[in-house]
Amino acid sequence: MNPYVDSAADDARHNEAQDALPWLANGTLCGTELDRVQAHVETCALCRADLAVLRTVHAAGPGPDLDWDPERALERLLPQLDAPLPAQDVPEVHAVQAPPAQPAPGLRRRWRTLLAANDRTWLRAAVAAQFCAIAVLAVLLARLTAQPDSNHDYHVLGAAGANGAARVVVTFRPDTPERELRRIVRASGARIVGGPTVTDAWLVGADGRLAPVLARLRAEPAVTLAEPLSTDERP
Amino acid sequence: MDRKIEAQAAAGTAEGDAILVGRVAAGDRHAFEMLYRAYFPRLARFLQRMTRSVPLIEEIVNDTLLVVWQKAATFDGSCKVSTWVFAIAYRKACKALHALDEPAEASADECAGADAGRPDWRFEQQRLAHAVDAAVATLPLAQRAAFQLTFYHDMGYAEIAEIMECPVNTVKTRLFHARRRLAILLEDQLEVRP
Repeated sequence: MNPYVDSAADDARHNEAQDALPWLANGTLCGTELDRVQAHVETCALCRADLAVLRTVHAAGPGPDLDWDPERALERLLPQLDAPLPAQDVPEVHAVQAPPAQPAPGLRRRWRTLLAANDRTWLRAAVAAQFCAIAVLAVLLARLTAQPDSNHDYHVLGAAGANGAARVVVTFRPDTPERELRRIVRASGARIVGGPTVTDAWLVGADGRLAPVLARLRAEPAVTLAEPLSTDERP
Repeated sequence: MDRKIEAQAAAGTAEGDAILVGRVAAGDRHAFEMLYRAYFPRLARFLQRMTRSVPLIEEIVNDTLLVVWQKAATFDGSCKVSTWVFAIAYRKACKALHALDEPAEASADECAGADAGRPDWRFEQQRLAHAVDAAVATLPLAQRAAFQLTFYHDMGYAEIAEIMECPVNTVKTRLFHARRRLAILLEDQLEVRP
């Protein structure tokens, strides 16, 4: 308890006066606050002592000025008056403060930033690309599953080839060289579209009429069998 | 600018400052130079308790008054010109000093011998001023600013609160802590005073 006050009200007035003493000392206190504080100080020895100290400090004033030179500084400032308006530190009460301008980074720095593993923009782009690739692969897989390749269907030996022209099954003598086999097929005007089967039969097709092809094949000594097949028949 | 207005502006009153700022907003360089010369010493004295670097003080003052030149048209007269200008200077100083991380400097030693051997009242005043300067230099920046604006610039707490952009009670609290600290540091100096 402060020995200079004897009640809660006086205590409150004392605290108020203590807070206000610096401004009583510099003469800016005014109005009813000035009256209250002055009235308290007249009755409070502690506040009077503190006020005396503050007035002494106030009267002493600041120490000597440093060696600053207004004219020298003004000379440096004048050329800047015509410069474009940058972002400034103006108190918000009087002007809206713009965010500070960031200097443009160099090319190397921009690339380093771009390629940095913790760059969120780069990571987002990479994840997006991965997602797209996965989506495309999933669609392709789904289409392949939904539309099975017709080439995987069951074919009988006499079924048509790619162009629907396979019509003749041919067997050759076992000792017929491969070169002779090719010559015979070529000379007959046919072409091999399948085989050899487990019975060493070959399937040959003919784009034109079947009978001359069949006749030429049968005329070859190395051909042991040449029989026409229907392309549409199924077993 | 006619002579009457110029005399009013040169008087350094709040009204004179407002006239000058109005002229500055219109691009009047002569008015700006008048305002500059009026505010430079006040701002420099305010800043020299925050840093002892003369080039930095001049740079902060120039930055502050350049803003005044560029933003004079935004000054709406809702406060005194001095409040507005000191608020800009305080922000500039905080930014510059925090960027530099400059420690508080005690200047007592470098000043102590300057006026030695002058046993008169003026010397006592100067000695005390040096001692107070040195003690103030040890205060945190916000307390230092509040102390200076109160004792060296004779501002009221409401105006200081506006400059420092804080509540009035914060200003009072800062002064309270500053006074306690200075009372300890200046105990010997102030005891000899009448």
